[in-house]
Amino acid sequence: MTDRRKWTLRLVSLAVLAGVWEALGRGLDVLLLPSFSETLLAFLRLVADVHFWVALWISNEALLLGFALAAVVGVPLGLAVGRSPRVERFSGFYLDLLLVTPISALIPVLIPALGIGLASRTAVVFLFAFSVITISAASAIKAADLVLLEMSRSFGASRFQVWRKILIPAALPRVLTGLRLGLGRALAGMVVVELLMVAAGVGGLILRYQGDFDAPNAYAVVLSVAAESVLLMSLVRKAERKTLVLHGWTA
Amino acid sequence: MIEIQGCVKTYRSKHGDGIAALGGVDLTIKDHEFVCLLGPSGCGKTTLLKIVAGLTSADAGQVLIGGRPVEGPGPDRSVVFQNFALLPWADVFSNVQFGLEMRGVHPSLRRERALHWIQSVGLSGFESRFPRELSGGMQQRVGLARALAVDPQILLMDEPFTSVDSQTRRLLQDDLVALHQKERKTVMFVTHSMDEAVRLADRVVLLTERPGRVLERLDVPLPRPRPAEIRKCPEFSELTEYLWSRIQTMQPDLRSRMSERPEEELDK
Repeated sequence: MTDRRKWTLRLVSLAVLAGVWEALGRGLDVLLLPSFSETLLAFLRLVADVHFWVALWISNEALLLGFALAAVVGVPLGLAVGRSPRVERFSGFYLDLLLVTPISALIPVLIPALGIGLASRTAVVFLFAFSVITISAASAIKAADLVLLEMSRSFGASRFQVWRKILIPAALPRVLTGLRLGLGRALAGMVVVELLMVAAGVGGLILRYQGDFDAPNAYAVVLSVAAESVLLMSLVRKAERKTLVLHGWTA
Repeated sequence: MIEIQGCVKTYRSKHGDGIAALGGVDLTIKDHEFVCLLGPSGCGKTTLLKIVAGLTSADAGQVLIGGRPVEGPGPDRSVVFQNFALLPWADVFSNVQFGLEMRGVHPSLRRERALHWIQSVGLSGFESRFPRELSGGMQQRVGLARALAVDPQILLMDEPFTSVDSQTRRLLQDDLVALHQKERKTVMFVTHSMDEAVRLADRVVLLTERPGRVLERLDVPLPRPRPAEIRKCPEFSELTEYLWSRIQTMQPDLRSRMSERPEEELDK
């Protein structure tokens, strides 16, 4: 499919969505469902307001810190888990547990321990992203071609060289996928903690507008979060592709 | 000189029952000799090669190279792998210089040696191509160049031409014959093709079904250099026929298994 056709289709689907939304918003006369045009207007007002950007920064601060921490801890731990059965036996169970446990349920436990500031929001983002990053890195190492390890050993590669020249390059694609999935979960964590426990950032903004029965603004904030997520994910996807090309994985 | 003395190897499965791969192999390979290990799949010939390579150890017995026991991989040996074992993320040049890099050879010398061997295997102009852009035959040429670039005395080749089509296989054999003529490395070459064994080897060593033992050592008195036409010599077909008759004396289930490979074993 050509780029032009792709974009045409995308625009058409967007137009259909907007049309249905507009019709529902006007037809259903429900207090908390604004029409598409109302939301769009509110969104334009919102992005002109400095308070919105402050709220967005507050949220993203936790996202940035939490995700960075998850990546810095998760990738090396995952590599170790993938390589060493002992490390896997030691931590595998908890990683699986963390992956399937609804992290939201842990929030009430975390808040008393870490307070309602940046620390607890960062911790929640970390917990959301950490397990998927770690498990992806572990599976990346396990999927590495054993023949390549044997080959490198036959040329007398040291342990360090095996990591540097075989395992890490081999793991790269899956590690990057894990980081992208982790970012998706981190974004979810960022909003969830603000909605559930710490009324700060964009989550806090949504709660406040809802409390004021200001549906268009509440929706506009949700829209902005969605926009940020889409933008971030597409940026990360591009970076991922670039990195893979740079490291010889794809042409 | 490679001296293989009483090598036994049993693989343990998870349930504790062992699979005996090698049942006591004795074999001596002289310097500059080209020896083909021939036998059915699963007869332990690859295991034997890996023991000589130092990639796995024997349960009993030992391998001496130049009188010293093998305790691991060493710079005197290079392995050429069945499935090429190329780094998929690295181009031809990086793959060929890999062994030199592992051994800490200076980058400029590395470059010179890698380019020399890329040229020798006929891949000039492909230095910056990736394995995924090459045919199977070209990929194995990269594997061969990588093995030779470190200038080993012994070349250990594990069914290196099994993963390519039969025309390419013949071309690779031609090139290996020419190369061996020039370099005179000691070669231990694992194959299950009688044709290939007779074409390449100074001596064919026939292994039995699992657990592998030496069934027979057969000198190949064909003169060198051996052009491809040597297959038309009566001696050539006599030798392959003889090997086939020896293989047929092995167990009947083996016979049926060997005849499942008509293209590789009987066609030639």
